Amino acid sequence: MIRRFFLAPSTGGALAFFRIAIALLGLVQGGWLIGSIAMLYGPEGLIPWSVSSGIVDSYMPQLSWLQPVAGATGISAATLVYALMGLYLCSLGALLIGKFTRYAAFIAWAIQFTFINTGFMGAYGVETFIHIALFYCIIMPVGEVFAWDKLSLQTKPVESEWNTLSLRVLQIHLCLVYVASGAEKAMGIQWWNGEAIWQTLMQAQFSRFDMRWMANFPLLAKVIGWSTLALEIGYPFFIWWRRTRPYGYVAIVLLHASIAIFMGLQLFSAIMIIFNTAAFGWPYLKSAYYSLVQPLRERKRLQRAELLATHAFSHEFEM
Amino acid sequence: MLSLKHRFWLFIATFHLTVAALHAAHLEEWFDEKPWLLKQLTAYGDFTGTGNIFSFFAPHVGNEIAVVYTLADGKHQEVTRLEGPNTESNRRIQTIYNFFSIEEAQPLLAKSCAAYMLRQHPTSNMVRVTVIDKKIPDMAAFRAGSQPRWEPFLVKDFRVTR
Repeated sequence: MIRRFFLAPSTGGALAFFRIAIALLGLVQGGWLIGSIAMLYGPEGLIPWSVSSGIVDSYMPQLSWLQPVAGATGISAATLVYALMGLYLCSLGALLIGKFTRYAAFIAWAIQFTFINTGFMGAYGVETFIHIALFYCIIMPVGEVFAWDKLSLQTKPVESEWNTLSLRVLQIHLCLVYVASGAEKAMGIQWWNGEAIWQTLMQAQFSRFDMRWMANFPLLAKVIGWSTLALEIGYPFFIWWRRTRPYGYVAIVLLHASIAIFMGLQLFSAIMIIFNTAAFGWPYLKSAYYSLVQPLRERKRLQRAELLATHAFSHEFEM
Repeated sequence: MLSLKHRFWLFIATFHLTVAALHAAHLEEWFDEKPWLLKQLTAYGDFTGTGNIFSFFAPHVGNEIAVVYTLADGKHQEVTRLEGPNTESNRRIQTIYNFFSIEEAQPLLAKSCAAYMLRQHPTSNMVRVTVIDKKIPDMAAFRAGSQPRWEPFLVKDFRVTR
């Protein structure tokens, strides 16, 4: 049973999707933050290195470790931070295309860890999950499919037990995340009486729309709060049962899409959707591709063939 | 039969997920003083991403915090806010400001913010850091006419001594 659950051979499509999507998200995030590097992570940023290095455990890699390098080379520490960010983006690029995958993942993980240790006060959920994801990209076989390293016309995706074991770890980790998050929310009265939803949507930092009307519909706020608790606490049950899995997957994707739309947390929502899709949703995404996109491409191909045939025989027939 | 390699990696996976579960259950808060083993588990959690708790918006939603800076150079004064070039940047500034809700962090954080603003505005020699939070009435009070309002809860002045 253990062998069947953890070690039944499977292909690495889901893990390749995970690698590509995480790298892409990291690049988008890096691009978004590049203009604020000095403020968020610089030696004299909003939280300067002198403060952050005193709070973070000394064994944790942090940007203040660049100070001796800056002293020895004469390059300013701020320039070194930008150079490190450049290296981070390059390693994400390599991870994206699957070139030197494990090395790229290791470099990206190490640099991202260094940045979040220094800028830990400004980090939120998206950093937490990128850190988890990059660590998994080092350990798991994420570069076996759709990767430059494995590019060959002769080879087909190989089934391996390590793909299954990796997916199981990802799946169980995700279940832990949702149950813990749901249980912590359930301890607060605000999630039961709808006030958590109301309070969040009324904060300028999150609100994208004027939601004052919700005060007249407290039952709606309550139902949204209860639904969130049910989705998070019930996650392991509905996502593991094969019959409820597609509905559960769609429900959790919709929850995160709503967070992106109504709270403006696009990157956080995106990374949670990536985790869910890699862990549970990949077969549905694949079948959606084959049933929706593939027929469209086939139809286009047929239209093109029809056009070519018409041209080829036009001189032989009266049109 | 499982091979030795399979057993080894199954053990690693089990250990990894157990550490994640323990941290999610606030392992570090179970002890007053960190025993040696906990220190090692914390380090493992920090490096591998299994050391997180997932209390997003839990157990309750905190007040929104904002900081207003009043910069002065002896003749003029300017009231301003620190804003990044985009929403992601602002989200991080906001996350830093949320630490003002921890009383012990307030003096150091106010000093850091003040120092940063003075570096950004080198002509100013004084800055007042005013930390405010938004009190949002509950739904019933809002229906009864109560409105959200910003209230200052920390005001600190800093002067350049150079």
